[in-house]
Amino acid sequence: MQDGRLKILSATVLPVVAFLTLAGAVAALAWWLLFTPRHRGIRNPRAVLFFLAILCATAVVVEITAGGGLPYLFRMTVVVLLAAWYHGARRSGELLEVAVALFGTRAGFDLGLTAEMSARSLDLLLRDLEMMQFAWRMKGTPRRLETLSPALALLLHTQLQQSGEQASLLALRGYTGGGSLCPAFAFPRRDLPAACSVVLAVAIALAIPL
Amino acid sequence: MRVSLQGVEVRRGEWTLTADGIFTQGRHLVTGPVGSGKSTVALLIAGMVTPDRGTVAREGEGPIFLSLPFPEHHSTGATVREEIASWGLAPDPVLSGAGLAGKLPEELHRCSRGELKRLHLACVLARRWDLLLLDEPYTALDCPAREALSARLSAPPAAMTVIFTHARESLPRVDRLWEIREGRLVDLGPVREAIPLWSSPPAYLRSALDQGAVPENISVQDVREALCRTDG
Repeated sequence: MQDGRLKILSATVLPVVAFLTLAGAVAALAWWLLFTPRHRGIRNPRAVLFFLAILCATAVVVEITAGGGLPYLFRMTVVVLLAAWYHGARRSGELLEVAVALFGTRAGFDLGLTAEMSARSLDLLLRDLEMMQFAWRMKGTPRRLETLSPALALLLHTQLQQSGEQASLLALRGYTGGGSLCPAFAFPRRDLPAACSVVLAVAIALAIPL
Repeated sequence: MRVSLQGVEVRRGEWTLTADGIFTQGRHLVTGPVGSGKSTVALLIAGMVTPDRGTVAREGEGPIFLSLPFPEHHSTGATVREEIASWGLAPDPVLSGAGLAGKLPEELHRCSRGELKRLHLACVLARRWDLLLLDEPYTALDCPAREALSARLSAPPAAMTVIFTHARESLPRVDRLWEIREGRLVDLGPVREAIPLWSSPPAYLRSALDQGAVPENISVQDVREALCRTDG
């Protein structure tokens, strides 16, 4: 899939569809199976497994306390898979381009820039966590709360510092809000079935309210 | 300690790195521009990533350490005192080595990145390793700290030390030079013979070579001595 607009549309609409109804979740899962590289497109499988483990624990609690844990687990698993796909499929600058195309060079630019910076921070944070694991293995540090909490606090502090520096840099370069950008998109024919299937998934979710 | 890389290939999307060569006892310098794959080679040698093709074989059972570019990744203490303790070291020699006298109770997040880096390097260099991999050890250091580190690393090591850097201002004496060229790790050979083959030497070395000097090694001091010999 090459069109950034389609990728963002799919990553926004399909999780909602999957969360709303079970039929929508089945349709969204079918979309994920048909139009994404599936497990090969997941950049950080361990993070996905971590989220799925949390979901499993939550589903067990939901099943015991109120019932409906299994459908909840299925719907949320599809949401996580779609999020993992978009995280791997996202191209740098894509969020900014789509936001400007949708909302213009003022609000759209600000929204897109914020989204790009957030996505970049998330990438950096994941990279930092991976490097921390390497470093701790080298140092022979056991993963205990008393060592984990100061390390994570330092990492968070570093991220905040970097954000501050980035904001200062933007201000120094004269950014006060909005900006000019002429986004251009390619919509290859092979993206058409994926686009139609998103609409179909929405229709299924609305038609079968399970 | 001996590390051999045979037919190693690492692929990340469109980007590919290939490596062949043997690292033996002594000091090695691996250079290349940012993003060329130096950190990947360091992680391969440390056994932290596995190649898509080929093998990385390490002979020797001693302790190995890979120092990553950002000191925050290694930090596990909340204060300077706790951080030094987490390495199993006494505070005084580390503090003096890092130029952080009086900072023992300081919280780590209040330290600058340069101070964190000096603290990290002082802790790493205070321990004994059979294989020490230093990935971008000059990052975040100011000029005096860079020179001090180069002087420290120039001392003949008890074991194998591999330095991965794109730094140009100050380099230590080494035994062997390596370079990453267009996605390939190239063994340039023993330092004296390797200097003329080095495609991107630091400016001070290139200038000396242009003047006809023949340095014994790549440190600023060696280059100065070579220039004196040429002038004399």
